[in-house]
Amino acid sequence: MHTEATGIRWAALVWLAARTGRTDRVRISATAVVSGVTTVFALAAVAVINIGGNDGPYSSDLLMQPGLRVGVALGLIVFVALLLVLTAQCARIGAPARDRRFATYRLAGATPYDVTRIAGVETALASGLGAALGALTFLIGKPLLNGLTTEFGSYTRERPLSRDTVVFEKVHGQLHLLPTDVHVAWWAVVVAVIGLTMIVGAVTQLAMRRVRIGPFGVARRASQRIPRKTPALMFVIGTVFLALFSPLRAALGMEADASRLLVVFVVLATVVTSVGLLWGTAALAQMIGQWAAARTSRASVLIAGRRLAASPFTASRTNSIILLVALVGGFIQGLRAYLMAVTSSAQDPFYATTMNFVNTALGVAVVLAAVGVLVNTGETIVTARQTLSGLVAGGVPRGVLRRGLLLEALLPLLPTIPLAALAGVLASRGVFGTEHGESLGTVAHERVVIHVVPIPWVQLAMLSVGTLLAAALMAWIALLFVNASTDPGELRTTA
Amino acid sequence: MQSEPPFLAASDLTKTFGESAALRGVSFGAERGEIIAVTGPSGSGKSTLLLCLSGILLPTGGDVVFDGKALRTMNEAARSRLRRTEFGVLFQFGQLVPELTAVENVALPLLLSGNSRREATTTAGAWMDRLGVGELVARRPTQMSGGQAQRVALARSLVTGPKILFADEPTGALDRQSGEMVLTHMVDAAKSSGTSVVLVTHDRHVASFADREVVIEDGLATAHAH
Repeated sequence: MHTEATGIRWAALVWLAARTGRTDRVRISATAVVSGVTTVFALAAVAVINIGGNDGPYSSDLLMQPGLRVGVALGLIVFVALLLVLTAQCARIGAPARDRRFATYRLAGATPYDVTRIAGVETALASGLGAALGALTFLIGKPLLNGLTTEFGSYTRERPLSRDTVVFEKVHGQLHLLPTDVHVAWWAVVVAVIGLTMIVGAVTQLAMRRVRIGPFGVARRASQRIPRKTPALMFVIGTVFLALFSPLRAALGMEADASRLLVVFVVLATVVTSVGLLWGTAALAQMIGQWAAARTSRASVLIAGRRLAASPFTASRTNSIILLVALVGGFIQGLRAYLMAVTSSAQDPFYATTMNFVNTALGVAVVLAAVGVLVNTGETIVTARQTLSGLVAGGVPRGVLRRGLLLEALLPLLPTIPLAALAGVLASRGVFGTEHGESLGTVAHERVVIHVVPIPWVQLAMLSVGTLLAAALMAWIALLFVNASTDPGELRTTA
Repeated sequence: MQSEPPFLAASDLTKTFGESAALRGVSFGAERGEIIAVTGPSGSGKSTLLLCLSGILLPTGGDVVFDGKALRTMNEAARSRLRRTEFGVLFQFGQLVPELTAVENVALPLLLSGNSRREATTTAGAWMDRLGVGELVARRPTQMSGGQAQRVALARSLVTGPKILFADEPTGALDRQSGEMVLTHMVDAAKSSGTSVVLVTHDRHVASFADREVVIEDGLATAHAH
């Protein structure tokens, strides 16, 4: 019999990774599905980037104009980044139960490195399978969609007459709605599948860094750090700088496009604002938690408040994506208000149409970010199942626990989402300006009309309320785990 | 003269999980203030009996009657309310909320019953004093020893003045000395307040704290000792 320590074989790794229960299957399926969707978006970005002179024509100027295409590709890449975070979150669904199983492997002689590899193999298999299916869907779906989304219409074509002269002519013909006619190289597909699988695997390993799986159980190293107030200051400073950017630039007599240094300043201020927002959420969550827990006579508020105060960094980690989406969303609303003020949509509907398209994409981003809230709230419930079971056994109604968990998910978001959206609007107004001068009349009788850019209060409110509602809905869906997680059987399980 | 029915009575209880029968017709009775140990080997069905008696699980067959009320006729919310007000429950693990302080953990059932925060924490503090853990009010469960945490859990299960306390291996995770202390406090508190106790254990020494012993084997009550 082979007993010397030569390390676990790959076949055994795969076999152990496949020993799954119901929660594991949920995790694997969710990881695979989101990986697949991520791959489709990544390949769509590749297709947009690859649009060449022989491709098209397209019904949307966003795909026809090379400058706008870059924006579309960037938007798709942002989606890919969002989906990658979501995939990593999905890869942690039910992880406590899996980690307990790993502890029994440790008891049977597996090393810490072995269990990390088993977890890695499981995630890589799920993510790789999902990415491969996503690539297949993209490759099969592209020609099918090409036939379905082509319509007859007119478009404007540039035709060079001489070296210095270009004429624009209106042409009638077949238009593509999407870049389904663009060739995507096979190696790009392979890179997307392998790259996404590797990134998800790496992020999952990173998520396990605080988990110590020993032969006698699982220990999680919770952060004992007290969140500082400094990040909140960073958020305020960054926002104020962005909001005052245009007046400052004007006061210093700098041209709008005079220096790349200005761009660097804007990017830096954006980073400072975002980091301040995310880290500041931890301090705010702790403050809200302590404040609420110290005053309430309601068990649900007490539980939510104390849990928030005890692990404030969980709140900032959980809410990071949705807060960034709210910040970017606010910026988009500010940009929209600016464009609508300085252009006449009656004459040229291009900007209004484009911003509607961008807002639709923003809506999708909000939903994706809110799915992260679902995953994290579900994870919180599964992790705390023994305590929850004990409380239910002691007569605490499940409704109280549900309300507590819902409050725990939403309390930190109530102030931060409107704040993030407002910061985005202020940043946008700072960068693009709050008014725009339009020169009218003749050279001899020139008059300048000043268009004041309004603060988009309605859009701001819709963004904040919509994002909060999406988060609330997802957290509410996650509460479906409460029943399964309060089974009396949990009372006999060691942690 | 007609004898009074037992305070807590179970007749012909059966409970199956899929193909496996955990209880196969157990009858059980407890009087006011009585301390009963339910003993038996691992997997004999003693914990399932406790879960059925306390209304956490509904039996497959038979019924549990507490103070004249049949648990089967109550919905989940009513049984929860019963556990919160008339019953106390104490388990081996995981009953304290790790994020709450000790006094908040003990006060939780009182807050759920509509008491003000001040009233709830005052009563909770008094119970903690009584069980010798009064100095731990501001500590979290992770900052206590196993024995201290279990006494805090005991305070929580007694804080509402329950008529009956269900304890499932309450000292199973403790060393002998800590276990002894928890049991002594539990028995003293129960005796002084007239609370009945149903104590599930596989430990003969723990069972010796009871007035009476019911032995469960293979899903059946096979012997009544003491």
